[in-house]
Amino acid sequence: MELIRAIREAKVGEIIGVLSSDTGSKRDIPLWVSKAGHKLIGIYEKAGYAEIVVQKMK
Amino acid sequence: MSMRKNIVIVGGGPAGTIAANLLAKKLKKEEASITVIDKTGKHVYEPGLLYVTLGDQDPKGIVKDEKDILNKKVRLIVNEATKIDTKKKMVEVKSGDRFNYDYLIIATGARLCPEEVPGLKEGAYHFYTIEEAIRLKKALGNFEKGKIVIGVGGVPYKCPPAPAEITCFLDYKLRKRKIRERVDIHYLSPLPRVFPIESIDPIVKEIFDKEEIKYTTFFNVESVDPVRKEVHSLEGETIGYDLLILIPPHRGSKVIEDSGLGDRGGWVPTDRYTLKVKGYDDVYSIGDATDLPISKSGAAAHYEAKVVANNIASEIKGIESHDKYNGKVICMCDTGNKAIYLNFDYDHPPKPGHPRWIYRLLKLAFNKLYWHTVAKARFL
Repeated sequence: MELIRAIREAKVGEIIGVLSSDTGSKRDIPLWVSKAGHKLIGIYEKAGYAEIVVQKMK
Repeated sequence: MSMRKNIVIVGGGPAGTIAANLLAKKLKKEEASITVIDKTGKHVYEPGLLYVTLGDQDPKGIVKDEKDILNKKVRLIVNEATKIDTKKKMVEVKSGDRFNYDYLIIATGARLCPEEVPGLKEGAYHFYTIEEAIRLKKALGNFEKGKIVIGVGGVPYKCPPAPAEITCFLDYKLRKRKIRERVDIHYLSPLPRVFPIESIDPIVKEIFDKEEIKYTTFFNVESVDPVRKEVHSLEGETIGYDLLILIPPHRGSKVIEDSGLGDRGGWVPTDRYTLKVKGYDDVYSIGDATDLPISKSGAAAHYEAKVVANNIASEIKGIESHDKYNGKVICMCDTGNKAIYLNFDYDHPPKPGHPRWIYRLLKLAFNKLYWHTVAKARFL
């Protein structure tokens, strides 16, 4: 939800990082990114949360 | 002798009313004055709106005068709050009057912002106000064949299950009218699943599959074309419709935004357990107004109001109290002729259970009993 809001507000080409401790996000965000036509840069495991990095492509 | 405390509650919906009535029961007149400030002085029981649209609910039966619900010890000010000043500890209303507080409870709810989705006002129906519920009822009554599309214009919104409820209920009513085979029903979810709560999603999907209700996930509405009758998503999809039901985007109340108390969506940053507004010891927020990532629902408002009323009353009386809200929500999701029972909190998702007619019966009974029980802080 936060990612969708950030994508709406970002310019094309900008990179957004989502920090989430919710395990569902690691599965759901890549699926949404793929459907919406953006680029998943990577998922980086940290202590207690994951950083999911996405680039707005259109 | 300690001074009489002023408790001011902004908002006379379920959250504010239950809090006010509970405080009035717990505190003597000499201990505190309780004031509720409400824009309209009318209290709407919003779970009844679905039944105005698809059931036999008389719209007059879901709205009452706030003055008739509030405890006699509570002062009601029917006026629009225009400024909440937490430095001066006062609330100003449209007439210019000001109300000082020792304790403030923000219960200003959520407002509908259909203008945030281009084309929504012109092209879509919803059932989130009495007027719109009646308008949709008429449109559905005249609908004989074609495609009905149901979706959500933005998140968060009040009552997460409501779009799925109206979908199932609509399917049921169309079958009763014996025209279901002439109508396509297509449900659009902004999430990766059909139902907001993960543990219940398989049950709702099962109902949709059985009743031949089509669904698309990850459909975040971007705009509506009322001429071509199409709804467009952020993800690049376009779905055509003959009748479109879209829950409008929601924001926090204008007074919250104007007072600099809200986040980007106008929601009040609130501690999930104490329900204190972050950064304050004497300001609380309950009901739809908060930024808590829980269902914006009457049930949450009810349980939150209990916690806050207990803690404020105890503090005034000089008694230790650290009552905490645990995220509890109980509700019944209507599926047409039955309902799914949901009981969950922060730490426990709802246990999946199939729809049963008894839960629907309880929901319909509560629709009538609300005014005499929970609203008046009885049998809580």
